[in-house]
Amino acid sequence: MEQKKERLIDVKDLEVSFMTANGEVKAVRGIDFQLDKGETLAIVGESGCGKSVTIQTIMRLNLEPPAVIKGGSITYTNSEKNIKVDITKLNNKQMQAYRGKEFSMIFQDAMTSLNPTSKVGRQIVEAIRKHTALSYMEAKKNAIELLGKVGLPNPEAVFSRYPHTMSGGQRQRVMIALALSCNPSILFADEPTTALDVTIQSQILDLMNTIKKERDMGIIFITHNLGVVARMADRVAVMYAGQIIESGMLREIFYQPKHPYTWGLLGSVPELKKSENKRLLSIPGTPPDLFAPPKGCGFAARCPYCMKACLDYMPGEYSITDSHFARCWLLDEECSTRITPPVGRAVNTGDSDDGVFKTKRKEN
Amino acid sequence: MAESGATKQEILLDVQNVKKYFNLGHGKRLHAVDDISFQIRRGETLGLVGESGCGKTTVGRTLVQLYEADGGKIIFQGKDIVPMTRLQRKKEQLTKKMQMIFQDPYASLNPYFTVGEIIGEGLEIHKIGADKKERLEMVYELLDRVGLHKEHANRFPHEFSGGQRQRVGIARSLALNPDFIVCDEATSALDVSVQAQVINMLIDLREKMNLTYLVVAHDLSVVRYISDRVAVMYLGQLVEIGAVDEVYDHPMHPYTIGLLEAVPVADPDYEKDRKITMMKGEIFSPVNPRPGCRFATRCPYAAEECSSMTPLLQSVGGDHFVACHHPVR
Repeated sequence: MEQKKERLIDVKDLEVSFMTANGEVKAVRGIDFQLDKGETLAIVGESGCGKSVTIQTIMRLNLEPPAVIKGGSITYTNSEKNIKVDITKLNNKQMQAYRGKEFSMIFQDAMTSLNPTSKVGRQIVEAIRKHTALSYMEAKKNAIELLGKVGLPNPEAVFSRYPHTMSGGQRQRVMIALALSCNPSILFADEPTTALDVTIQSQILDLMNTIKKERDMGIIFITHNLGVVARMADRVAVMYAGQIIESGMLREIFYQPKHPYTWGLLGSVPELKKSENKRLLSIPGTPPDLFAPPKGCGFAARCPYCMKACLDYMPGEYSITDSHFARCWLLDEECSTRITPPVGRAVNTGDSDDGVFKTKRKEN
Repeated sequence: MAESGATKQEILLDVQNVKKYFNLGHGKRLHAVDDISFQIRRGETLGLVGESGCGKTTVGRTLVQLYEADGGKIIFQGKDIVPMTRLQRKKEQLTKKMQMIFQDPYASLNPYFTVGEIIGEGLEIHKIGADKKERLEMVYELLDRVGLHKEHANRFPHEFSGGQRQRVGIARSLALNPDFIVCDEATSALDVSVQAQVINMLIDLREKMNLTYLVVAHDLSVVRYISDRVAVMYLGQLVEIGAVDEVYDHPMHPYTIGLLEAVPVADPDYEKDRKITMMKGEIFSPVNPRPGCRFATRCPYAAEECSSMTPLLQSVGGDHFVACHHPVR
């Protein structure tokens, strides 16, 4: 058994809505997850499933209103600094002490997230001086050191360059340097490599892994690329229509997935290695409208195994192991149909104890 | 994937030493496509991969005459289309025979047109179908073919999701019953589950309508899945070309090897044991490139001759060609 790591973030039953002119969009509909120190949690899902809203809520970056935290709590703990706080209760002013210093974030598009009118060095120095009492020269020294650390050649010269003179990969490295400038304990990464070429993506992922090991940070990684998940994550949460429909350790999700949506997701990725089956599994249809989310399971309308109960009642969380749970009626003890995942690429069906696992409903 | 018997089939498109330069002024010239030659046989899918800025999109656009080539020959169905005038091309009905599917399903559909008008525009221009009514029937059939409904013909593009829009783009490209379609990153803007739907559809259509594709993409997994042969580009030149399985399983150009190693695979155990030799640096600018192998500056095996002599595509067995002085075996 691994040593119990320190818990950084504990999200409980979080609900976030956007009040728009057309009505209420229930973007996040009651999610629970945790993040420990030195761990990478990957949140995967299609666009519009609420994954970005979730981490933006933890950073409190959503404009409120229209965003409203309807319920739940986000507890952030840092025993070294003696912090234990419910993020949802903070106001914007209080939140400023956490943003950048305790949490920081790298975005998908490094061009629009850096200030085009200011040299990159200055942007890093600004962040450092905002949160520490360092002088300009000390902050500059730190900034140059950071720029070197993220693998930019000739960091002194980079310090006085503007973002537009750099390539996408270089800008993303600057973003990472900026995010690390105040030594945060959690790094949020919202599709940090989606806009990059594979070779550069590989370099950036490698850099993030090195930094994580060095600083023992927690990383919450948002992506829709399952290959990136396999390379980076320790744990995975699969989101669909504002809910986490399955969550578990990396290998549990890839080799023993339990939710039909996860099966579809894994089956729809074309493989780089030679694969036997020729046709990609695809999920018919599109995600539900979150203006009026369905009463039952959000995936029911697209699910090939949909039962009557799925349409009328929301499935609870069924735990398969201590770390693995899924929200699906198929896992209920009273469900008579035992369905094995379709034969797909990463979906392992053969040897495992599929079909005989014991599920138990989580008590809330 | 099509049968390997495709090798015996006629050559639909023969690209010989095609060049496309963009003048940037101040004596600068961007060598987007520099002396590229390849062939596409009828019924075959050729994948074209490479990092952004390597010129792969320019190749696709030059083939369908969205750009005029600056040199070389593009022999389509036995005729060189590069020296043709606009009128000649029209006479040859090239626009009918060659079509393109674009990357961005938001930017490539005219927001003022209904979906029916978008798909039917080509039919109208080429005067296919006796009257409006018949053309509308054809549009309905096309919509059905790409998995949309009749009722969608009267809607505007903004009423559709990204995946549906991409289907409209595909229906438009199919309207004139083309022989050859360039798919320029046709699925990269879509979510994985929708991407799988569209890829499956493209494969089905290829079989049903006897189409030939050039698939331009940066996603190497998609290209492996959909293509029969694959060409790898670096800074405006081809570095490797061959049958998909051959190139992916036994890559010989150091760049192809680096590119394949960089792709994360959705299999945690495989990823854990994988040894990744990181390719250093980034792609260089194709403005006034220096002589010799363009990959030499990033290549771990670069020797002296690499920086002076440009390597030519040479066969390393059968259909597999590599442009490298020291191919990795």
